[in-house]
Amino acid sequence: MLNGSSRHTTRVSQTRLILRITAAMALAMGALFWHGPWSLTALTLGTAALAVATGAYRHPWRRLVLVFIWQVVLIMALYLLRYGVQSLPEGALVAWRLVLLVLPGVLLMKTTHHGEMARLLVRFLPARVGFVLSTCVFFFPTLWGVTVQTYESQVLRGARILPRELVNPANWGTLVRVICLPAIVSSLVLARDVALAAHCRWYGLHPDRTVWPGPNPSNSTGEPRA
Amino acid sequence: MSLILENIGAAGLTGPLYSGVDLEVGPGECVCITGPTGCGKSTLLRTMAGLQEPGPGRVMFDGQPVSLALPGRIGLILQNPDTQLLCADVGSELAFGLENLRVPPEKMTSRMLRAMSRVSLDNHALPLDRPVGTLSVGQKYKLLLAAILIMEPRLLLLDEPCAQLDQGGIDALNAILENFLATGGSVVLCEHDPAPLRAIGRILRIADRTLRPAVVPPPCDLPAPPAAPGKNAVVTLESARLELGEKRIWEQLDFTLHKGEIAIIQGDNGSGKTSLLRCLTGFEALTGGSAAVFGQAPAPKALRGRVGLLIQNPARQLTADTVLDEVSFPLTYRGLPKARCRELATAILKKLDLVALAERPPFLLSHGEQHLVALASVLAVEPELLLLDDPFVGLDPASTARVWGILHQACLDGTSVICTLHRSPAVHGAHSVHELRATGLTPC
Repeated sequence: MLNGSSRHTTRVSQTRLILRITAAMALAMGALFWHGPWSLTALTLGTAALAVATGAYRHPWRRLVLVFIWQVVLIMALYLLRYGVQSLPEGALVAWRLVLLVLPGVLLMKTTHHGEMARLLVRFLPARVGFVLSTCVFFFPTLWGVTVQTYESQVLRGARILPRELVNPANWGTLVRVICLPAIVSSLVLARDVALAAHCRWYGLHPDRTVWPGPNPSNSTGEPRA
Repeated sequence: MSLILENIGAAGLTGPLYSGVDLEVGPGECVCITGPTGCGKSTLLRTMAGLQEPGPGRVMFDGQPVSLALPGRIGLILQNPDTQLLCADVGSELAFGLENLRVPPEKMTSRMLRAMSRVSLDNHALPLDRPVGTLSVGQKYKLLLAAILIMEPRLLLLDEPCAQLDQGGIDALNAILENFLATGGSVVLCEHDPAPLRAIGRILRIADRTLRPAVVPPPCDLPAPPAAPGKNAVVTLESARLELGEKRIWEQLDFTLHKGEIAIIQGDNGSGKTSLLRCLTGFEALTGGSAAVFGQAPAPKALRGRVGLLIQNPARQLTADTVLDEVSFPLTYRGLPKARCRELATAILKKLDLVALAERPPFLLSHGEQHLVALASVLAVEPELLLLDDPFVGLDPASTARVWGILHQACLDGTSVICTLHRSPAVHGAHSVHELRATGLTPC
């Protein structure tokens, strides 16, 4: 089920955030490309270390575990249907590898304030690309909130799109029609509104911009000085 | 300093909106533009800001075409602050416009603090590194105003500034506008109901495709709600309490809604109205106390088809090619043949006096018409309980009266209605009004 509740994120320094992103990307890439004998054990331990380092264990995790259980069950069921009972151990390994591919990114997103992520993107990318990407990240919660509202109203109107009902592929078309398409329309409307808001504040007037608080921030919190 | 519009015209998707508009706005003057939903008020504001072609005429500001106005001299604020705050924290938000104008960073902080002071944002309570996401709607609107005022505009253009604000936010806006006008600035704003804004000096109305002088419209007459509701309880809350994370939203909520009753739940921005509706649909669990809908603990699966939920800005959920398809689509969930669904949908459209729109694409309708179509598609499944989340935002008095008419009809058919609002309505057609506070739900 989609969840409209707010995230429990903490604000971290940019250096720590860079380390976290690097570790999460390394673990995900490892899950994708490293298939050595001890790879799954090492990646599992690495992901657990990331969970401890980011404080992810303090966050609500029950729903996340349920999603991964569904994923594992679905993949093993597909292996069972396609290759028979003897393929189940192999299916379990593939399912676990997929969990390890996705989990570092999920942990990172769950424990990082979207604003911190946006600020980091702006530092490393060309100004315009950085602005577009940071705005996408920044407005994701807004779009998510709208989608959650739409989902709930459509369920009440009769759409068979509760999590268990989505196991049936016959209901996927409804999901596309009543959730995905409106979400795309909402994102286009949001993009138009954001572009207009930036234009109203003279974004793009000059090819380059000054940056506050600057290289030597004098008083970036605005706290009165003694 | 003055703004002059000469022979302005504009066209919408379905034809001309207005033509031959002439207007002059002087220093220290606040002009309000009213008119029915979809008549082109926002388009006219954007034309004044130089974001829209003026048709055959021209827009002059400070004696020159508006396109040549100095950067920062005109400030336009659209309706929803959430889509206009572009940065993660208060300081970055205030700095955004100055950065675009290439103001040296060392000169920014003092201007930021001055702009915050102009809109009564306390820098001690709201430091520059405070995340924007933690602000209330009223604080966000003030921050947006400060982010515009920091560029020292002489003309403020505000599109429905009261739409998202509660009474406290409106009081603050009144003070900000009066201060701005006192310094010789000019304000043009669009608003369906100008009454709450005392700074307004002149009211104009777009009617018959032109701009005419107008007066504050009297509150529209609404019919009284149908006879007293039944005795059967549809919704019951007993000592309900909700906490989200570590924050207590409300507690000690006791409330009963009877069959055929229309109740308004009014509360300030952030008071937890939408969360209350989520609790009643089972998408959010209460932290304490109990809730019952149709005598059972609310669960989405059990309430499907029995409860209709109209979200804020319901036009977002319109996806069909025609209005008739939009209204008939939820009926297909019942497994009825398509022809039967269309037949029933046509009957609903007739009942709501929307049959003239049946073959039109929903996305080409005006905001008010889209709103009514979304309501029709919720009513199509004949819900026993209707939950409406701030349903009158952006609606003109005529559309508002029409929605009340539809609700009264639904109420006569036995539907119960809960309608949340962020301000106390001047007139309403409900049986009861309750105020939502952190400490309970008080009948008004």
